[in-house]
Amino acid sequence: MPSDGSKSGRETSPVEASRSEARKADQELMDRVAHGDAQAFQQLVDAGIDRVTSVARRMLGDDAEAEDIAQEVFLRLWRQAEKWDGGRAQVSTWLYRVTVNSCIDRLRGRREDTVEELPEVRGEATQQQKLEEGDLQEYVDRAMQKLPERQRMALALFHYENLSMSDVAETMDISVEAVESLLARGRRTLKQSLKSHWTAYLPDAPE
Amino acid sequence: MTKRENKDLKRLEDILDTYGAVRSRWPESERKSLESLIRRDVAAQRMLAEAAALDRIIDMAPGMIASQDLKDRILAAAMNDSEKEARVIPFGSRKRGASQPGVGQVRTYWPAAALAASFAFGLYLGVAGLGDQAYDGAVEVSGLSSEASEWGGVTYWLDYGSVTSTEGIL
Repeated sequence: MPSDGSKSGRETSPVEASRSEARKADQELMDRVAHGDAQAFQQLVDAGIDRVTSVARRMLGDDAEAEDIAQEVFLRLWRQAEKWDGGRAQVSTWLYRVTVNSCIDRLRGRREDTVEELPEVRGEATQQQKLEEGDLQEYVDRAMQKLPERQRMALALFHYENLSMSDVAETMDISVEAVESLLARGRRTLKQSLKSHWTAYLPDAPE
Repeated sequence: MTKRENKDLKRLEDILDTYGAVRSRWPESERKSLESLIRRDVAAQRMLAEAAALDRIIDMAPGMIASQDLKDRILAAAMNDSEKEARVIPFGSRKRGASQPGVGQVRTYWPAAALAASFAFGLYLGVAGLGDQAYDGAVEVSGLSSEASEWGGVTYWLDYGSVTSTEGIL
Protein backbone atom coordinates (compact mmCIF):
# COMPACT_ATOMS: atom_id res chain seq x y z
CA MET A 1 0.00 0.00 0.00
CA PRO A 2 1.47 3.37 -0.92
CA SER A 3 2.53 5.57 1.93
CA ASP A 4 1.40 9.13 2.31
CA GLY A 5 4.61 10.23 0.73
CA SER A 6 6.00 11.85 3.84
CA LYS A 7 9.24 9.87 3.65
CA SER A 8 10.09 11.08 0.18
CA GLY A 9 8.72 14.52 0.78
CA ARG A 10 6.22 13.95 -2.04
CA GLU A 11 2.86 15.57 -1.51
CA THR A 12 -0.20 13.37 -1.32
CA SER A 13 -2.21 13.61 -4.52
CA PRO A 14 -5.90 14.55 -4.29
CA VAL A 15 -6.84 11.05 -5.45
CA GLU A 16 -4.68 9.42 -2.79
CA ALA A 17 -6.03 11.78 -0.16
CA SER A 18 -9.58 11.02 -1.14
CA ARG A 19 -8.94 7.27 -1.03
CA SER A 20 -7.28 7.58 2.32
CA GLU A 21 -10.33 9.41 3.65
CA ALA A 22 -12.62 6.77 2.19
CA ARG A 23 -10.59 3.99 3.79
CA LYS A 24 -10.73 5.77 7.11
CA ALA A 25 -14.50 6.10 6.90
CA ASP A 26 -14.76 2.45 5.90
CA GLN A 27 -12.63 1.42 8.85
CA GLU A 28 -14.90 3.26 11.24
CA LEU A 29 -17.97 1.59 9.79
CA MET A 30 -16.34 -1.82 9.80
CA ASP A 31 -15.29 -1.37 13.44
CA ARG A 32 -18.94 -0.82 14.24
CA VAL A 33 -20.00 -3.81 12.16
CA ALA A 34 -17.43 -5.92 14.00
CA HIS A 35 -19.27 -5.06 17.19
CA GLY A 36 -22.56 -6.17 15.68
CA ASP A 37 -23.88 -2.71 14.81
CA ALA A 38 -26.79 -3.43 12.50
CA GLN A 39 -27.15 0.20 11.49
CA ALA A 40 -23.57 0.37 10.28
CA PHE A 41 -24.06 -2.85 8.37
CA GLN A 42 -27.22 -1.48 6.79
CA GLN A 43 -25.28 1.59 5.69
CA LEU A 44 -22.75 -0.62 3.93
CA VAL A 45 -25.49 -2.69 2.32
CA ASP A 46 -27.34 0.39 1.10
CA ALA A 47 -24.16 1.92 -0.29
CA GLY A 48 -22.84 -1.14 -2.05
CA ILE A 49 -25.57 -3.55 -2.93
CA ASP A 50 -26.49 -2.17 -6.36
CA ARG A 51 -22.88 -2.48 -7.45
CA VAL A 52 -22.80 -6.07 -6.31
CA THR A 53 -26.08 -7.07 -7.95
CA SER A 54 -25.26 -5.26 -11.20
CA VAL A 55 -21.86 -6.86 -11.58
CA ALA A 56 -23.23 -10.28 -10.61
CA ARG A 57 -26.16 -9.91 -13.01
CA ARG A 58 -23.85 -9.01 -15.86
CA MET A 59 -21.47 -11.80 -15.02
CA LEU A 60 -24.11 -14.48 -14.53
CA GLY A 61 -26.99 -13.28 -16.69
CA ASP A 62 -29.53 -14.27 -14.06
CA ASP A 63 -31.41 -12.14 -11.51
CA ALA A 64 -31.90 -14.87 -8.92
CA GLU A 65 -28.26 -15.88 -8.98
CA ALA A 66 -27.21 -12.25 -8.70
CA GLU A 67 -29.34 -11.99 -5.55
CA ASP A 68 -27.71 -15.13 -4.15
CA ILE A 69 -24.30 -13.62 -4.78
CA ALA A 70 -25.31 -10.40 -3.03
CA GLN A 71 -26.41 -12.35 0.03
CA GLU A 72 -23.18 -14.34 0.09
CA VAL A 73 -21.00 -11.29 -0.34
CA PHE A 74 -22.63 -9.18 2.35
CA LEU A 75 -22.81 -12.01 4.84
CA ARG A 76 -19.10 -12.53 4.31
CA LEU A 77 -18.54 -8.83 4.95
CA TRP A 78 -20.56 -9.11 8.15
CA ARG A 79 -18.65 -12.16 9.28
CA GLN A 80 -15.20 -10.86 8.48
CA ALA A 81 -15.63 -7.35 9.82
CA GLU A 82 -13.48 -8.10 12.84
CA LYS A 83 -10.52 -8.88 10.60
CA TRP A 84 -10.93 -5.81 8.44
CA ASP A 85 -7.70 -4.02 7.58
CA GLY A 86 -8.74 -0.65 6.25
CA GLY A 87 -5.20 0.13 5.14
CA ARG A 88 -5.37 -2.48 2.40
CA ALA A 89 -8.57 -1.79 0.53
CA GLN A 90 -11.75 0.19 0.44
CA VAL A 91 -14.97 -1.65 1.13
CA SER A 92 -16.14 -0.97 -2.42
CA THR A 93 -13.01 -2.58 -3.89
CA TRP A 94 -13.42 -5.54 -1.56
CA LEU A 95 -17.07 -5.92 -2.56
CA TYR A 96 -16.22 -5.92 -6.25
CA ARG A 97 -13.43 -8.39 -5.75
CA VAL A 98 -15.44 -10.84 -3.67
CA THR A 99 -18.34 -10.48 -6.09
CA VAL A 100 -16.32 -11.32 -9.18
CA ASN A 101 -14.62 -14.21 -7.42
CA SER A 102 -17.96 -15.57 -6.24
CA CYS A 103 -19.31 -15.24 -9.78
CA ILE A 104 -16.32 -17.11 -11.18
CA ASP A 105 -16.88 -19.89 -8.65
CA ARG A 106 -20.46 -20.17 -9.86
CA LEU A 107 -19.58 -20.02 -13.53
CA ARG A 108 -17.06 -22.80 -13.09
CA GLY A 109 -19.80 -24.90 -11.59
CA ARG A 110 -21.90 -24.52 -14.68
CA ARG A 111 -21.67 -26.69 -17.69
CA GLU A 112 -19.93 -24.90 -20.51
CA ASP A 113 -22.60 -25.65 -23.03
CA THR A 114 -25.43 -24.03 -21.14
CA VAL A 115 -25.12 -20.72 -22.98
CA GLU A 116 -27.33 -20.75 -26.01
CA GLU A 117 -25.93 -19.91 -29.39
CA LEU A 118 -26.75 -16.45 -30.63
CA PRO A 119 -29.43 -16.59 -33.27
CA GLU A 120 -28.34 -15.85 -36.79
CA VAL A 121 -28.80 -12.18 -37.59
CA ARG A 122 -29.99 -11.46 -41.08
CA GLY A 123 -30.80 -8.25 -42.85
CA GLU A 124 -29.40 -4.77 -42.64
CA ALA A 125 -29.12 -2.26 -39.89
CA THR A 126 -32.80 -1.55 -40.11
CA GLN A 127 -33.44 -4.83 -38.34
CA GLN A 128 -32.63 -2.83 -35.23
CA GLN A 129 -35.96 -1.09 -35.59
CA LYS A 130 -37.80 -4.39 -35.64
CA LEU A 131 -36.51 -5.37 -32.28
CA GLU A 132 -38.36 -4.22 -29.27
CA GLU A 133 -36.24 -2.66 -26.55
CA GLY A 134 -36.57 -5.77 -24.39
CA ASP A 135 -35.51 -8.05 -27.22
CA LEU A 136 -32.45 -5.94 -27.88
CA GLN A 137 -31.52 -5.96 -24.22
CA GLU A 138 -31.79 -9.72 -24.19
CA TYR A 139 -29.75 -9.99 -27.34
CA VAL A 140 -26.98 -7.81 -25.94
CA ASP A 141 -27.13 -9.71 -22.67
CA ARG A 142 -26.65 -12.98 -24.49
CA ALA A 143 -23.77 -11.61 -26.49
CA MET A 144 -22.17 -10.53 -23.20
CA GLN A 145 -22.74 -13.95 -21.69
CA LYS A 146 -20.92 -15.53 -24.61
CA LEU A 147 -17.73 -13.63 -23.84
CA PRO A 148 -15.04 -15.42 -21.86
CA GLU A 149 -15.62 -14.73 -18.19
CA ARG A 150 -12.58 -12.51 -17.64
CA GLN A 151 -13.40 -10.33 -20.62
CA ARG A 152 -16.94 -10.02 -19.32
CA MET A 153 -15.63 -9.19 -15.88
CA ALA A 154 -13.33 -6.46 -17.20
CA LEU A 155 -16.20 -4.95 -19.17
CA ALA A 156 -18.57 -5.14 -16.22
CA LEU A 157 -16.14 -3.27 -14.00
CA PHE A 158 -14.75 -0.76 -16.48
CA HIS A 159 -17.63 -0.03 -18.80
CA TYR A 160 -20.65 -0.46 -16.54
CA GLU A 161 -19.24 0.32 -13.11
CA ASN A 162 -16.96 3.07 -14.37
CA LEU A 163 -14.03 1.87 -12.32
CA SER A 164 -10.66 3.28 -13.31
CA MET A 165 -8.29 1.00 -15.16
CA SER A 166 -6.08 0.68 -12.08
CA ASP A 167 -9.07 -0.16 -9.87
CA VAL A 168 -10.17 -2.86 -12.31
CA ALA A 169 -6.64 -4.24 -12.28
CA GLU A 170 -6.61 -4.23 -8.48
CA THR A 171 -10.02 -5.88 -8.29
CA MET A 172 -9.08 -8.58 -10.78
CA ASP A 173 -5.59 -8.91 -9.34
CA ILE A 174 -3.92 -8.51 -12.72
CA SER A 175 -1.85 -5.81 -14.41
CA VAL A 176 -3.32 -2.76 -16.13
CA GLU A 177 -1.95 -4.07 -19.43
CA ALA A 178 -3.81 -7.34 -18.92
CA VAL A 179 -7.06 -5.46 -18.25
CA GLU A 180 -6.55 -3.40 -21.41
CA SER A 181 -6.07 -6.57 -23.40
CA LEU A 182 -9.20 -8.18 -21.94
CA LEU A 183 -11.27 -5.08 -22.65
CA ALA A 184 -10.02 -4.78 -26.22
CA ARG A 185 -10.71 -8.43 -26.99
CA GLY A 186 -14.14 -8.25 -25.38
CA ARG A 187 -15.17 -5.12 -27.23
CA ARG A 188 -13.88 -6.43 -30.56
CA THR A 189 -15.93 -9.58 -30.14
CA LEU A 190 -19.03 -7.56 -29.28
CA LYS A 191 -18.36 -5.26 -32.19
CA GLN A 192 -18.59 -8.25 -34.50
CA SER A 193 -21.47 -10.09 -32.86
CA LEU A 194 -23.61 -6.94 -32.45
CA LYS A 195 -22.68 -5.27 -35.71
CA SER A 196 -26.17 -5.26 -37.16
CA HIS A 197 -27.36 -3.41 -34.05
CA TRP A 198 -24.72 -0.79 -33.37
CA THR A 199 -24.53 0.26 -37.00
CA ALA A 200 -28.12 1.41 -36.69
CA TYR A 201 -26.88 4.07 -34.28
CA LEU A 202 -24.39 5.59 -36.69
CA PRO A 203 -25.20 9.13 -37.79
CA ASP A 204 -25.56 8.05 -41.42
CA ALA A 205 -27.53 4.88 -40.68
CA PRO A 206 -30.57 4.34 -42.89
CA GLU A 207 -33.90 5.15 -41.30
CA MET B 1 -2.05 8.88 -46.15
CA THR B 2 1.33 9.17 -44.49
CA LYS B 3 2.92 6.51 -42.35
CA ARG B 4 2.50 8.77 -39.34
CA GLU B 5 -1.21 9.24 -39.99
CA ASN B 6 -1.66 5.50 -40.33
CA LYS B 7 0.11 4.98 -37.05
CA ASP B 8 -2.06 7.59 -35.34
CA LEU B 9 -5.25 6.00 -36.68
CA LYS B 10 -4.11 2.59 -35.50
CA ARG B 11 -3.45 4.01 -32.05
CA LEU B 12 -6.91 5.59 -32.00
CA GLU B 13 -8.45 2.28 -32.99
CA ASP B 14 -6.64 0.52 -30.13
CA ILE B 15 -7.77 3.15 -27.65
CA LEU B 16 -11.39 2.97 -28.86
CA ASP B 17 -11.36 -0.83 -28.72
CA THR B 18 -10.11 -0.73 -25.16
CA TYR B 19 -11.71 2.33 -23.60
CA GLY B 20 -14.69 3.08 -25.79
CA ALA B 21 -15.75 6.46 -27.10
CA VAL B 22 -15.94 8.44 -23.87
CA ARG B 23 -12.88 10.62 -24.10
CA SER B 24 -12.61 11.34 -20.39
CA ARG B 25 -11.80 7.66 -19.93
CA TRP B 26 -8.91 7.63 -22.35
CA PRO B 27 -5.36 7.79 -20.99
CA GLU B 28 -4.69 11.41 -20.15
CA SER B 29 -1.28 11.31 -21.76
CA GLU B 30 -2.79 10.59 -25.19
CA ARG B 31 -6.10 12.41 -25.01
CA LYS B 32 -5.01 15.72 -26.54
CA SER B 33 -3.20 14.23 -29.52
CA LEU B 34 -6.09 11.87 -30.28
CA GLU B 35 -8.63 14.68 -30.03
CA SER B 36 -6.56 16.70 -32.41
CA LEU B 37 -6.48 13.76 -34.82
CA ILE B 38 -10.26 13.44 -34.64
CA ARG B 39 -10.76 17.12 -35.39
CA ARG B 40 -8.76 16.97 -38.59
CA ASP B 41 -9.31 13.42 -39.89
CA VAL B 42 -12.60 12.11 -41.30
CA ALA B 43 -11.59 8.48 -40.86
CA ALA B 44 -10.87 9.15 -37.20
CA GLN B 45 -14.28 10.78 -36.82
CA ARG B 46 -15.90 7.73 -38.34
CA MET B 47 -14.04 5.44 -35.94
CA LEU B 48 -15.18 7.51 -32.99
CA ALA B 49 -18.80 7.40 -34.19
CA GLU B 50 -18.63 3.62 -34.50
CA ALA B 51 -17.20 3.25 -31.01
CA ALA B 52 -19.94 5.50 -29.63
CA ALA B 53 -22.60 3.41 -31.37
CA LEU B 54 -21.12 0.24 -29.90
CA ASP B 55 -21.03 1.86 -26.44
CA ARG B 56 -24.70 2.65 -26.80
CA ILE B 57 -25.55 -0.95 -27.59
CA ILE B 58 -23.33 -2.34 -24.83
CA ASP B 59 -25.11 -0.03 -22.39
CA MET B 60 -28.28 -1.98 -23.05
CA ALA B 61 -27.10 -5.12 -21.25
CA PRO B 62 -29.31 -5.22 -18.18
CA GLY B 63 -27.84 -4.48 -14.78
CA MET B 64 -29.80 -4.90 -11.60
CA ILE B 65 -31.03 -2.60 -8.87
CA ALA B 66 -31.40 -4.46 -5.61
CA SER B 67 -34.92 -4.68 -4.24
CA GLN B 68 -35.78 -3.61 -0.71
CA ASP B 69 -36.80 -7.21 -0.12
CA LEU B 70 -33.26 -8.38 -0.90
CA LYS B 71 -31.77 -5.79 1.42
CA ASP B 72 -34.16 -6.87 4.17
CA ARG B 73 -33.26 -10.51 3.66
CA ILE B 74 -29.55 -9.76 3.91
CA LEU B 75 -30.01 -7.76 7.09
CA ALA B 76 -32.22 -10.47 8.59
CA ALA B 77 -29.68 -13.16 7.68
CA ALA B 78 -26.91 -11.15 9.32
CA MET B 79 -28.90 -10.64 12.47
CA ASN B 80 -29.73 -14.34 12.69
CA ASP B 81 -26.12 -15.12 11.95
CA SER B 82 -25.10 -13.05 14.91
CA GLU B 83 -27.34 -15.08 17.17
CA LYS B 84 -25.99 -18.34 15.84
CA GLU B 85 -22.36 -17.43 16.21
CA ALA B 86 -22.84 -16.88 19.92
CA ARG B 87 -24.06 -20.43 20.39
CA VAL B 88 -21.91 -22.51 22.69
CA ILE B 89 -21.95 -26.19 21.99
CA PRO B 90 -20.46 -28.32 24.71
CA PHE B 91 -17.55 -30.51 23.87
CA GLY B 92 -18.11 -34.22 24.13
CA SER B 93 -17.49 -37.29 22.03
CA ARG B 94 -18.14 -35.66 18.69
CA LYS B 95 -16.58 -35.44 15.32
CA ARG B 96 -15.59 -32.28 13.52
CA GLY B 97 -18.21 -30.88 11.24
CA ALA B 98 -17.87 -31.24 7.50
CA SER B 99 -16.70 -28.19 5.65
CA GLN B 100 -19.70 -26.00 5.06
CA PRO B 101 -20.26 -22.30 4.77
CA GLY B 102 -19.56 -20.93 8.21
CA VAL B 103 -20.00 -17.81 10.19
CA GLY B 104 -17.49 -15.47 11.75
CA GLN B 105 -15.43 -15.96 14.80
CA VAL B 106 -17.05 -15.96 18.17
CA ARG B 107 -16.27 -12.69 19.81
CA THR B 108 -18.74 -12.71 22.65
CA TYR B 109 -17.62 -13.89 26.04
CA TRP B 110 -20.43 -15.81 27.59
CA PRO B 111 -21.39 -15.57 31.17
CA ALA B 112 -20.11 -18.41 33.27
CA ALA B 113 -23.68 -19.45 33.94
CA ALA B 114 -24.29 -20.10 30.26
CA LEU B 115 -21.14 -22.19 30.03
CA ALA B 116 -22.09 -24.16 33.07
CA ALA B 117 -25.55 -24.77 31.67
CA SER B 118 -24.11 -25.86 28.33
CA PHE B 119 -21.64 -28.12 30.04
CA ALA B 120 -24.39 -29.70 32.06
CA PHE B 121 -26.45 -30.17 28.92
CA GLY B 122 -23.44 -31.84 27.27
CA LEU B 123 -23.09 -34.20 30.17
CA TYR B 124 -26.74 -35.07 29.81
CA LEU B 125 -26.32 -35.73 26.08
CA GLY B 126 -23.22 -37.80 26.72
CA VAL B 127 -25.01 -39.91 29.33
CA ALA B 128 -28.02 -40.28 27.07
CA GLY B 129 -25.80 -41.19 24.12
CA LEU B 130 -27.17 -38.31 22.08
CA GLY B 131 -24.00 -36.27 21.74
CA ASP B 132 -23.16 -36.95 18.11
CA GLN B 133 -26.73 -36.65 16.97
CA ALA B 134 -27.26 -33.38 18.75
CA TYR B 135 -24.02 -31.94 17.45
CA ASP B 136 -24.63 -33.03 13.88
CA GLY B 137 -28.08 -31.56 14.09
CA ALA B 138 -26.75 -28.27 15.30
CA VAL B 139 -24.24 -28.11 12.47
CA GLU B 140 -26.86 -29.01 9.94
CA VAL B 141 -29.29 -26.40 11.15
CA SER B 142 -26.77 -23.61 11.42
CA GLY B 143 -24.76 -24.49 8.32
CA LEU B 144 -21.53 -24.09 10.18
CA SER B 145 -18.06 -25.48 10.02
CA SER B 146 -16.47 -25.83 13.38
CA GLU B 147 -13.22 -26.05 15.18
CA ALA B 148 -12.51 -26.88 18.79
CA SER B 149 -10.95 -24.36 21.11
CA GLU B 150 -10.21 -23.93 24.77
CA TRP B 151 -11.48 -21.17 26.96
CA GLY B 152 -11.80 -20.92 30.67
CA GLY B 153 -10.91 -24.53 31.16
CA VAL B 154 -13.96 -25.65 29.21
CA THR B 155 -13.66 -26.90 25.68
CA TYR B 156 -16.28 -25.55 23.36
CA TRP B 157 -16.67 -24.97 19.68
CA LEU B 158 -15.93 -21.91 17.65
CA ASP B 159 -17.36 -21.28 14.23
CA TYR B 160 -15.16 -19.93 11.50
CA GLY B 161 -15.95 -18.53 8.11
CA SER B 162 -15.31 -20.81 5.17
CA VAL B 163 -12.09 -20.31 3.28
CA THR B 164 -12.62 -19.46 -0.35
CA SER B 165 -10.70 -17.94 -3.18
CA THR B 166 -11.44 -14.53 -1.73
CA GLU B 167 -9.60 -15.23 1.50
CA GLY B 168 -6.76 -12.86 2.20
CA ILE B 169 -8.27 -9.82 0.61
CA LEU B 170 -8.94 -8.19 3.89
